[in-house]
Amino acid sequence: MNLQRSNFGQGQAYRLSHLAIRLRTFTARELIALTGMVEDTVYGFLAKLTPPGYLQWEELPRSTRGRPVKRYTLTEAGVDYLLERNADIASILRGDGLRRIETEAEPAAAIAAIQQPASARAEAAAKYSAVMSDLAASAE
Amino acid sequence: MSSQQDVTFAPESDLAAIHARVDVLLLLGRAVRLHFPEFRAAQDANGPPAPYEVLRILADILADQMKRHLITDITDALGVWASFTADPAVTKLAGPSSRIIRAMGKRVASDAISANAGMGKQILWAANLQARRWIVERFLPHLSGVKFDPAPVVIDYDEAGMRFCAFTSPLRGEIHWTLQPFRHSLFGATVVPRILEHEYVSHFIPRNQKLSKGIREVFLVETLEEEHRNDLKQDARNRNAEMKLDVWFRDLLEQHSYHIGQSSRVELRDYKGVATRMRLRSKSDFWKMTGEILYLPEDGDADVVDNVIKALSASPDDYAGALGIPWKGFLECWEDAKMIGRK
Repeated sequence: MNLQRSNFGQGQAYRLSHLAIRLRTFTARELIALTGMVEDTVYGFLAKLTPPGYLQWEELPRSTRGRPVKRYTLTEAGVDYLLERNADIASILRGDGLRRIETEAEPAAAIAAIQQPASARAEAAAKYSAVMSDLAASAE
Repeated sequence: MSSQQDVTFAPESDLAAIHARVDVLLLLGRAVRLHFPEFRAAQDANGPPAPYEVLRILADILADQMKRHLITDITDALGVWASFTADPAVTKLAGPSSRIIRAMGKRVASDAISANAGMGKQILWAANLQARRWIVERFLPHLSGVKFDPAPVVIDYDEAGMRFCAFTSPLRGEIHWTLQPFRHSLFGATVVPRILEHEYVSHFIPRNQKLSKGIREVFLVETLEEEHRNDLKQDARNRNAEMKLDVWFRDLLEQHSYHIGQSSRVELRDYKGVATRMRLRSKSDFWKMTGEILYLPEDGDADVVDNVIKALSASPDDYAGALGIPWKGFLECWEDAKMIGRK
């Protein structure tokens, strides 16, 4: 799902992801019933998660006529991906654009800063601030 | 440890009709829960409707009859069940699901007799003992130094649904369980031990009473969910079925609380996912962090805890990992977060 979409679309993606993380195993119909979203939205969400290996599915054995129902299970990589993506969406919905700049940038400077011994922190923090100022300036 | 049943009705809720509603709700919830793993398996395969949609029909009939004051006796559960099974969507259910619904109905019929009046209190107390046992045996071993007896349970009735579905009075050492005539109530009745576990972990055990709603209602709830999900001592099918009922209940409750303005979607979003993310990355650091929350002294700085969880929530994985692992404590983590601008 494209992170550049409208707030409404972001909200839908967030809710679907949040439910998938909590349920871990679910059917499309269950997500539709829980969220009230249209089938296309839910199936679109599932379709984008399957090829990268974020979702696995099995066909449930029917005792009645009709197409088999798929039960989806979120893989560990899928949980990781959706958690991270939801943190991104929450950040965007909050209007915190900086997080996206940082996500795309190399976070090494910041991480190095907090992994320094106390004596070297001030210098590392100053370097980090400079990196962030440059990034923010280039994004404007 | 006291295991003597200690469930009372709050004075304003101590009415025969409220007693009956508690009995009906809890006996229906128990009947559903007992057969839910097999019902879910059958209905998932042969749906639509999804199992959630089927239970929603029952939940709505029950809520409606409670609101219209049609439930005045434990035997009124039979009428609720009859309306449910007469619903067109339920009558059309395929054979396997239909058979399980009949099994649930038999359970309801055997429970909903006058001689069982008051059974709601027994179900609630059994759930309380189960919740306390799970916390002591599965949750607290990750920590140390916390001991507690089962708390007395007080039943409240909240017709308008404006209060919390459960709350804790730490000073009185009581847990209040609230009956509300709304859709979420039946789902809640299928997972009463989970509701009470949340009261213990989020409200009864923490020493600091200033912990935010986000910490108590999101971070610690997620912690509980993750522990249940990874509780390998419970049969997998039952565990998964119970997880599902719990998620459905919490989702409905969240929607209800947003609707009445009890909590804000935006406010709580800032706390979501943190417990799961941190636990996935390092279980031992996650527990150090959770222990620090639960043991935060009464005069400890709850704002710092809040700020750190929000900072972790807003941070990409690399940052969150660097901030929280290895766990250095909330104060140091907050200093680091400020230094790298994650505040």
